Amino acid sequence: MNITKQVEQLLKQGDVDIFLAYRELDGHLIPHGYTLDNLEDLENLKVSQHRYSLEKVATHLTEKKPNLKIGIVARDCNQRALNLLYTWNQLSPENITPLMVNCCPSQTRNHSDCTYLEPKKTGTFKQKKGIDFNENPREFMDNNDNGQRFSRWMYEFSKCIKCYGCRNICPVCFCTDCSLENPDLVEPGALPPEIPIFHLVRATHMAGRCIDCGLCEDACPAEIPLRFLYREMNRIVSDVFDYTPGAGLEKSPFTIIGNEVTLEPRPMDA
Amino acid sequence: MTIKRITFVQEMLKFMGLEGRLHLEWISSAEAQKFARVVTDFTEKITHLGPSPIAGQTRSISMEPHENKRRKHEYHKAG
Amino acid sequence: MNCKFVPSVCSYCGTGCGVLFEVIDGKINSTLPLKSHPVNQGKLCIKGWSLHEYINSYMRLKAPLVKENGHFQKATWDEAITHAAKNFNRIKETHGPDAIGVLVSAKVTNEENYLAQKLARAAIGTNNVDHCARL
Ligand code: SF4
Ligand code: SF4
Ligand code: SF4
Ligand code: SF4
Repeated sequence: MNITKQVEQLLKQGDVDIFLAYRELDGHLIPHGYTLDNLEDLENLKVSQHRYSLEKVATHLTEKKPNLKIGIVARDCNQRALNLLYTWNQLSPENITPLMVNCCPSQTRNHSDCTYLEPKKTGTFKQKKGIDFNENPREFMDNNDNGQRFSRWMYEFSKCIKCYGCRNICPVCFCTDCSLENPDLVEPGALPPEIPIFHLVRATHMAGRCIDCGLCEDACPAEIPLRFLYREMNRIVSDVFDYTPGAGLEKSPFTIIGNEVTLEPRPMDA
Repeated sequence: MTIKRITFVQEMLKFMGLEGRLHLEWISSAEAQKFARVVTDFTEKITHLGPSPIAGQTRSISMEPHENKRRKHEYHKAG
Repeated sequence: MNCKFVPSVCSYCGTGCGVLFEVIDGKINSTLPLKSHPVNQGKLCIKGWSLHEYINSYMRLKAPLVKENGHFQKATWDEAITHAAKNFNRIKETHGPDAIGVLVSAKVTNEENYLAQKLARAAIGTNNVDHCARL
């Protein structure tokens, strides 16, 4: 059964009140909420090459109407984000019906932004610029000493125009009171923002939370390799806490008191 | 939990190029000597590392374009 | 509950980034960058990201206001336009057309900017036309 039929059935049977997918408008593939009131729109239903954070839209809708039943076309990254939002009680699984579609690379998306799959094809523009943004954190650590790593990140962060795009587009940034707007942590009105605090605050929040969808890096006008940074944060989280955000319905280790610890404090080397 | 969190921050600082500036040690109130030793060692280590490169100058680093060029250059030359 | 997305162009500066408004039940709820737009390619600056805030601001003017005796009074469009035209004519007759300047904006379309300069040059008769994005 093709996806249009499936959506029609879900709507008609009342399994979902609104279905979030894409449609084509003036040559742009944009998200759209399909409901029983606009069934005729269904013939334009598309599975987009462009990714938008549909699960973020779902949280907005849920805010307005908590028991709304929402259907979503979901790729792997959408599904990971949904899992994470369930564990943080932002959405409840009873109200969400994901319809899984092909992940990238696929018929819907022939090149991949997803780090897990085709790292080398990512960000041609960025590669052209001479910095391979999909670098391997291990190589980065091995090839650069402390000072070089510091220079690199300070250079990257200093390009920031403080657009808050990384936070705004992120499906798992849902706080009503964002630390990045807290004047005690990040000085208001200063541009570039206080570095590296601005980015490290966000990086810390993304530890145990970022599901590596890459939307932030896509949205960053300064081409800062945010995904690389957050991926390394979660490499640490998975080493230290044995937790992968979005993989299942397990709560983030940062929200609970852990049980058994096998780590030893590190020796102080001079 | 503390140790996990501290390990996380240590690893993060390492990735950022600020390695070795955070240390965790358990010292009971009965271990005065250990306390003195750890604090002395860490003070020595920190003095040896010198002032933090971001202390007190986060703004000025970011506001100077030539400074950024230098950083970029430094990074690429080495890489 | 109804939720749709409306593509538009950012009205803040001359760059003209493509934006997408998330409209829930007829009210703009948030702004997103339009990923397929050739100008901004899925990126926005802080002003673009905050477009929905000024659209929904309670401080927006919703009707023309005419200043009478030092106070703004609500007026109809007809009254306001007649009032403006009368005073422009008066200024033009007493001080000449170059006493009037026309400032246009990146917040309106090219076509509207064209019409504004036409108004300045052909109707008023001055070359005093300028634009905030005349970089
Ligand atoms: S990759 Fe970026 S946008 Fe996606 S979850 Fe992580 S921080 Fe958020
Ligand atoms: S940056 Fe941190 S505080 Fe701000 S919305 Fe994201 S997780 Fe919340
Ligand atoms: S998206 Fe990029 S430029 Fe914008 S605030 Fe985030 S890091 Fe800075
Ligand atoms: S988003 Fe920013 S750069 Fe783009 S048109 Fe609007 S104001 Fe200009």
